Amino acid sequence: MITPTTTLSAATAATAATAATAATALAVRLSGVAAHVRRRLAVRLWFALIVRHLPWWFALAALAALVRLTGFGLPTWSVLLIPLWLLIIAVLAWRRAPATAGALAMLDRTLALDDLLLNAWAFSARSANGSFATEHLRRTDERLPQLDTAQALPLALPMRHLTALLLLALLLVSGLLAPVPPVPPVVLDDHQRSELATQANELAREAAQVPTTALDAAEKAKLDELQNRIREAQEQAKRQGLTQPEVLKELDRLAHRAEDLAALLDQSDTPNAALLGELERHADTADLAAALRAGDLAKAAAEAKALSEKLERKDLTLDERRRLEQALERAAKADSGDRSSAAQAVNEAQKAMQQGDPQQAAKALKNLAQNLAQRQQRQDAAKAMTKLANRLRSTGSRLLSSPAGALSKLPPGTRSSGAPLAGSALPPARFQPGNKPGQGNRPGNSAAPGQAQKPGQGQGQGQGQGQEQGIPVPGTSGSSASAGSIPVPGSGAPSAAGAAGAAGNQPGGSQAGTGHVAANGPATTPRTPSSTSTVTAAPGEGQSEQTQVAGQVHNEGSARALSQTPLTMVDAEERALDEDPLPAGRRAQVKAYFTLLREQLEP
Amino acid sequence: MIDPTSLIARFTDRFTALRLEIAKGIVGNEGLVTDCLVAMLTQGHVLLEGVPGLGKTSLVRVLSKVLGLSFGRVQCTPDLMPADILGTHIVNEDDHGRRTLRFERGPVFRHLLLVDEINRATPKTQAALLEVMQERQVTAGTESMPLPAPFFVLATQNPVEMEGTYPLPEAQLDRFAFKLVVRFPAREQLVEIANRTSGYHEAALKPVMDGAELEALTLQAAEVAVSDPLALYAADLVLATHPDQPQATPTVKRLVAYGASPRGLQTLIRTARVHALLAGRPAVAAADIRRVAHSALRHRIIRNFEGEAEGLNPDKLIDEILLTVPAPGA
Repeated sequence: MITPTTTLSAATAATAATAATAATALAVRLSGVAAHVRRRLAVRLWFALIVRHLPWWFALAALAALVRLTGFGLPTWSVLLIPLWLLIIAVLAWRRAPATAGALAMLDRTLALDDLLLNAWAFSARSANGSFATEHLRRTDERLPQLDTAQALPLALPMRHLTALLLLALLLVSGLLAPVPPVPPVVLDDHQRSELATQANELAREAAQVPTTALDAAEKAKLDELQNRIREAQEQAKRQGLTQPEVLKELDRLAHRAEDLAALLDQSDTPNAALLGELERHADTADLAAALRAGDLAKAAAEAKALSEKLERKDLTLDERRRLEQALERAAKADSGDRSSAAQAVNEAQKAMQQGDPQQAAKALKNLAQNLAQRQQRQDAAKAMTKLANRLRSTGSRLLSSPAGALSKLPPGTRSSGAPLAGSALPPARFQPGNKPGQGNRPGNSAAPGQAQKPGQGQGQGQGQGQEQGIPVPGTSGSSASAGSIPVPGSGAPSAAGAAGAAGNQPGGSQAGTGHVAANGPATTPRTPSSTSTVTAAPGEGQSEQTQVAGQVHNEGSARALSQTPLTMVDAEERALDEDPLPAGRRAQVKAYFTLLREQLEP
Repeated sequence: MIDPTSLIARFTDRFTALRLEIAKGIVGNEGLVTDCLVAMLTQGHVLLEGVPGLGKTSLVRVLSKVLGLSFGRVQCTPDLMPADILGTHIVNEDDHGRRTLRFERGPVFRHLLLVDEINRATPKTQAALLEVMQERQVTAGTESMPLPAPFFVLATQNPVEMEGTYPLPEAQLDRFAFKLVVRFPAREQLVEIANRTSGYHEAALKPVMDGAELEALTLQAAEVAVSDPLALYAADLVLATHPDQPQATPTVKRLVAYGASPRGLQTLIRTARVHALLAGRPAVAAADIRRVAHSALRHRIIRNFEGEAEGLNPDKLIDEILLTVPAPGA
């Protein structure tokens, strides 16, 4: 039975259900409005961020334009920065755009709705069923179709911002995006081609002068190929349209070939120190050992030949024979697996002497002499090849970078200390041995070799103070060693010696072994022993060999020219340079520097 | 069920009628009058602060007449005792000569109590008002006597003459819904005051409504909807007055000792509801809350020693808070 109360309750429930349905529908519509507002806000925020970053982009575009004016271009991938930037700030804008409630609140504020939408969204979300809340939802429902979000939140950018964006795009297209035109290779002009032809002729002449007597067939073939290439370059020099990179590349390739060949020819065959030391102890073999140690192959060949002839002599005394046999025997014992030609010859001669066959021993030594002579020829050929390689490199530099001597005309003081740098100026004076490469004269340095006293001249007191370290020589007080000259072993205090030398003006000064020699002078000539004898110094200790050298006036020289040290360093630098990935032009420039340096250092 | 739209319209009409009638007795100060009425429509007490002669007492008297409420007045002095306000037991002899104790009710037993220069009363007397304002009853001995409904306390204090005064304790201040500052009238208002009140006859005011209708309107205002984002906004405003809360501004952290209590939040919401009705809206907006923020919070912010030394103005602090606290939904 339906009572009036039941009917009223049912009607109330139906009304509540209708209200709830309407609230849900309104919530959906509000969410749609909020999503729309959120999108518009994100886009507006995106625009705002673009405008905010405009000054930075203007600066970047101006920089790119400036960089392009200098001939460089930004990498192609840098174009991707623009869409990447736009994407990043778009994501940022979307993340910073308000959520549903925030979007509705923003629209409320923009349209002065007194939180109409925000409240409606909150009431519909929690299904508020109060009479006032329902009334609010009803009013919102009525108002919602009248809202114009597009008008409330316009997406159009102000004209000044649009203008700025267009200007920026223009700058970017001109400065950042436009590809940099490739730099056309520089073609040799007539003067350069003429110079190249001259240089090529000289190179061909130098290549033809390389001694070939000691070269084997394969080496000769390589040399022939190099000469052919140089002749081809001679022909190419006449061609019109020859470009600088082509010339540099070809010269560099030829220089590498020459260097490879030089390295092949200049293979070391130096006997070990023990063998040399033992040979030096005996008067008959001392000169040979000294020459071998000094690398003077011609002299070593002559000494070996002299030794051979001595053994061949009919009048070879028994004493001399025993002495030689003993020297060779000890040297052979000192040899420990040395495979050098000298060691082999010594072993062979020693065996022959042991078998009582001096002729066979003489033959072994003669063979050694021939071998050393041949090696001397190969070394000469290697030197010629190295010189040719340097000439090839300097040719490119002279041809393309500057007229000859331009490097030395660079203002002084532009050169830094330490390792020599390509393109830097050479010192006005000749390179001074004893100074480090790249350093000029310093206060307190001794005079340059050309200005230094002659060999045997004494040094004044204080000479050499404050100098760079020279080559240390045993027996000298190291700190006073002067650059550019080498104190002779056994010298005393430099002040006293110098004073004495200066006073007496005698070669070597007043004391034996005191004096200085020029670094670039010839090596000391080994002195021939005046007599050699075997003595028994103490009973039970065996015999000792006594070699006597009669005192005489002579000039001491350095075993190795001091200028070899910087040359070795230059060679090392040059080899390291070959391993570095450098542009061909730059490499040629540095090589040219090294070449000039080498020319000045070489005696 | 009455249509909310007609309810809102009726509320607005009645409020307007009140305003018009009050305007006959009070010149200018429309904002002050509105705030007083808003507080009374939420059953809130009001503390009026201003220099003497600005019409504070007159305003209360006019309100009592227009609202048709009984009026009681207490002029506070340092020797005023609680019994002078609440009432006291006196010995009464009946016709048969029997003596009994009878509670003689004080001036508090009125609908509208004017406590003039409240800060001149001693703390003991001030404390007598605590129960009256919160529980709306008076307890004498073991007997509790309810006050007539509606009951309002409208107190005044003079901020200039501080000698011989007792600043209200925080608990007392917190019981006032609004603290309203009575400004000096503008030039035109002064002229109007001169024209209207320089005679010896007071304006004839008639009651526009009675206490019952006032209570009915109060109940209507309580129905106004408040959404969660708006309630959160009000809560954030209150929290921003506390130096130890993350919502606090740097100035609050530096110069404030204690912030507004939950009563402050209640006052914000209740009075905002009235403003929403007055704007013809069935739901509270953020603007309604901002409209009442100063009146509801200024006396609830307790400055620390540094704040007092720097003369921190709570109204400026509230301005800063309103600027700092994110808008609803943000």
